[in-house]
Amino acid sequence: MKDENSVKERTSKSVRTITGALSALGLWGKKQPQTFTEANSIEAPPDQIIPSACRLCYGRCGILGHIKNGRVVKIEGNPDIPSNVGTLCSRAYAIPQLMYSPYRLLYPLKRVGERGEGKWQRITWDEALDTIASKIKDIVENYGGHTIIHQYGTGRDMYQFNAINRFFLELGSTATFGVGNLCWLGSYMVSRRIYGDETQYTGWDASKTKLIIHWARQERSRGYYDWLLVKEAKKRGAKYIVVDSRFTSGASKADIWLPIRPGSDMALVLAFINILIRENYYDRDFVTKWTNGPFLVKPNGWLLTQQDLDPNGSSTNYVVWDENSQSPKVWDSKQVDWESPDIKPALLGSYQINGVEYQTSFQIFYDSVKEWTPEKAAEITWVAADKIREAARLYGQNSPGACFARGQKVEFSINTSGISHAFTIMMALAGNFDVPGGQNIAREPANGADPYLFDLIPPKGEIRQKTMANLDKYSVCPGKQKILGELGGFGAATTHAMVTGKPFQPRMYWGQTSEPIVGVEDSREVMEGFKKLDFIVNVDLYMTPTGELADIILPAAHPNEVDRIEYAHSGHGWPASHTTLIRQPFSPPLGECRDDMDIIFDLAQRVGVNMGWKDKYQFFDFMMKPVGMTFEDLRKKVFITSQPSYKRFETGRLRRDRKPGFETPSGKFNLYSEDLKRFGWGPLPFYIEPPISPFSTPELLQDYPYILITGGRSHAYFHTEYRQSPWMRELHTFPTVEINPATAEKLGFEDGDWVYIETKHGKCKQRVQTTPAVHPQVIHANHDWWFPEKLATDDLHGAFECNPNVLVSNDGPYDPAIGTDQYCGLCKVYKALDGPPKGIWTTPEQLKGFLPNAKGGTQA
Amino acid sequence: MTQPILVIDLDACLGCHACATVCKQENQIGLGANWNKVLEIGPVGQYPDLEMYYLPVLCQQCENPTCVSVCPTGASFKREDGVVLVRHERCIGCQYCVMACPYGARQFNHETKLIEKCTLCAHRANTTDRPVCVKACPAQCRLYGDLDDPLSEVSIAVKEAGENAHFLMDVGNKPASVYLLKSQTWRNG
Repeated sequence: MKDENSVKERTSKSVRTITGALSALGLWGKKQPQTFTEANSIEAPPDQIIPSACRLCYGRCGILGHIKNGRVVKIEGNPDIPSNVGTLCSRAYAIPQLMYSPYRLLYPLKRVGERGEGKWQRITWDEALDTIASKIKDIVENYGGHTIIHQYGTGRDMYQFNAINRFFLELGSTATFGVGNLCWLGSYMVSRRIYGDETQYTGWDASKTKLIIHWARQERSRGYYDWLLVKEAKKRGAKYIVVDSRFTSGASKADIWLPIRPGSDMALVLAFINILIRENYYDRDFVTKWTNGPFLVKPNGWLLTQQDLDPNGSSTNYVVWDENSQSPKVWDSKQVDWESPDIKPALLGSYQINGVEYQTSFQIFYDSVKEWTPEKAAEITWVAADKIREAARLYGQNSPGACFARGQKVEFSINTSGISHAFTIMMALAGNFDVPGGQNIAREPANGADPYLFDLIPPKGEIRQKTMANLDKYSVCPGKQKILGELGGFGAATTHAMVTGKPFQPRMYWGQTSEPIVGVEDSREVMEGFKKLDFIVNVDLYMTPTGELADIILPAAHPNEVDRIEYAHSGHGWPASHTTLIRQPFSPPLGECRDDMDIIFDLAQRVGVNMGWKDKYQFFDFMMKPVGMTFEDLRKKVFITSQPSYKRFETGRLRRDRKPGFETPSGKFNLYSEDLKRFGWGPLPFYIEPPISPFSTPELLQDYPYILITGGRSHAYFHTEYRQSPWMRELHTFPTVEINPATAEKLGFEDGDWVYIETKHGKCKQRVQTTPAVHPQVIHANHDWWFPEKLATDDLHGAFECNPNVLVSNDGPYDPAIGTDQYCGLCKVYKALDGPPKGIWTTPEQLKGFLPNAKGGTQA
Repeated sequence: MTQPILVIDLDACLGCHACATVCKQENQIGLGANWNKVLEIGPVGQYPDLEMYYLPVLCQQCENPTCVSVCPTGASFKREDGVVLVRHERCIGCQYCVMACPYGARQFNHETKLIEKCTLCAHRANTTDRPVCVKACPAQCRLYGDLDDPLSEVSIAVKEAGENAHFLMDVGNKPASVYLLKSQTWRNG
């Protein structure tokens, strides 16, 4: 504790009422006489206990809802679920507060005032959906469906995601604000291109590992249960390495913490890779046998094909130098085998064929990382060279059998494709794919129920086929979104299109439990853009800043009021990665709230879109088929977990044809990626300095001397969500900016001061917490703050006041393949002479306004 | 005699505050009050040479509880089984105990005008059931049991920890609950 006073910190109000006669059963089996009144009561047993899943972050813990009189009164962890084994974080206990919040929307609403005036009128579902359906038909007919923007929040279940996606793709809509291209599509796109499956490095295996690297992955923010395995691994003697700009909870437990300069991650990975190769820690057999490292490369950077040497040869077969015969030999991509037995491909070197010099792709790769000595990386990353060396060697020495997990924030950069590529190569070089204690090549969920089938299987409509065939015409960023971007629109392009009308003017926005004004870069531009649209529908549980601009509001059911199949998102380790569980209602939707999926199915019927499935249950049953179950079976069984399997590239279980190898066109692990080269990237990862940084823009340093980051994730919130829970607001009361004490002293700040954080683009206000956990030149601000207690007329519930998304522009540059923006930049900080924001709730007395049954809120 | 305690492994505690929140749910504690709170000790040092741990603070089930000795009405007492509790029918809300507790573990309820504190979930009738914070901890860093029983889980953990077992500062009240911290310097003695 900092001083005795902080321990003796006094608290103020408490509202609990004492109930009557109480228990005094002994603790050790002896019955104690009832001679006193304890401070709490024995509750009457619940009427029912319902197993379900928590959906308040990506983790999907198993929970038990205690039901009394038709309402959930208490949440408990479900000890049967192998991931969270009965434990739960704070957020789960907020479920009843969030479900019965006086701020819940209960009925469809129609706006009756100006946008942002906060004037609404209750309407029926029929009126709401018929109005929307006729508006959609009108827009599709007159302007084309591509002028509709659709959007879903991150971390929703993927069943809902796919239903929304299918409906709007069928209408010809392509633009979104792109949840995934911030944090997820990078690793998905790259892993699919490199080894044939879409993963976020899911399925890392701490249960058998010798070493764990957590790269910008704050263990206490999302799905904590991985920590239980890390903890056990540490007890067994496994090493724990944390890479993070901040001294996080995880960093404080690490054997080695690498305090990296924000945005410079790529330099560190390349230094790791360089050490792995130079010091011979890499798995040479794996690289030679299973990757395209031995493939020869033409001077123009493309792989040498059989056709290049023989006009009758195949353009998809590749050439290696065979050390046995000292001649070129062919890899047959169709047969997934060499042209003849006894080939010993050269991994390194340069070879002459018909007078032309060809290097192996691995030689080119090695040459490209040679410059990344620990010393050079130290200059770029600000991590000491000997620490880099020590960490990389430990990783090498403990591989195969070392595992890696990254936080999504590491992908929030213009280098997102590259960094995902580099991570993937690092793990492969070390021999850590599909080995015990390493990385399982696993999708989410790894046991097969993949909700993407929702949209893959049914036939595609005419409008959609036409849109896809002419994507450049119908995309808000023509020619840019080539790979896995959201089919023609990432956030910045969508925002720009709304504001500028280029390349065309969007007409309608449909948002479903998402909050783009607060959550997307350049909040003010997003708001300006929305004001230019003809028609906005917002589906949510609560009124939000974006909702205030809508024409129609539809009330969504709480996640624990509906049926779903659930699984963990965002790169969890085994067993979470291999677990599927039921999410079922604790109680029926409040008021007239409806399940997001049901809303889409109903609307599709009114608009005349073929959803391909009769309803959600037909699809759920289909999804459970591969494991021999129906949805109702899952309801009875509650969860299923499968075991990880290893070395599937040897046994053929990674490929549909069951041949050994990877599910890629060549069957190889594409360390050297022609796809990435084709999509505007290089075939190999390389370092890019963040566009606004002390190195890129030293001229800004005089006015904006500090590096601004916003990547820390709250253990109370999920991005913009849960600001309506009084317990979460108590846990995390203020929008907080972390500043090193030396910097604070220089600037004259003390803990609790309100300061402005200002970039070239904008400013917002937060409250100072001094901490040596950040570098003296780094400022860390909490992201996504807004205040439901403020009114619509308070600049949309204070959406711009304390929210760092006003500090970043939409003007690029972006990752060329995915469209990801850079989120760190340079800022200055100075005292807010106008003091704290007005009208925000911080005291227990104020926060009572969020308690169920409190007067006020949306329902008043 | 028995001496029920918690043993909290600070090398494992992630500082997630779940113990504080589940406690509020279980004991229906009002806004602004906490029977269990989590302090951040540190970071201490200069970036990047830092140490930090989290310290959940709650009633230490002292052997010689000052809160009991200062209570003018006998409402505060150490039950036969060792749990420090408050008889509410005798509590007059004078708050002497709140001032006497070196750890700020007691709360004055402004609505009932009575004193509240951690009861080790004494109301959980099933005698084999653990306090909710022990059950729910996402780091599984809490143990619960009888320190006077040499074969209990807590006694074994404390014995195994040796010099890495720590008590909060003792001002004569003899705190009984134990914190385990091996990876860094204990700063709360």
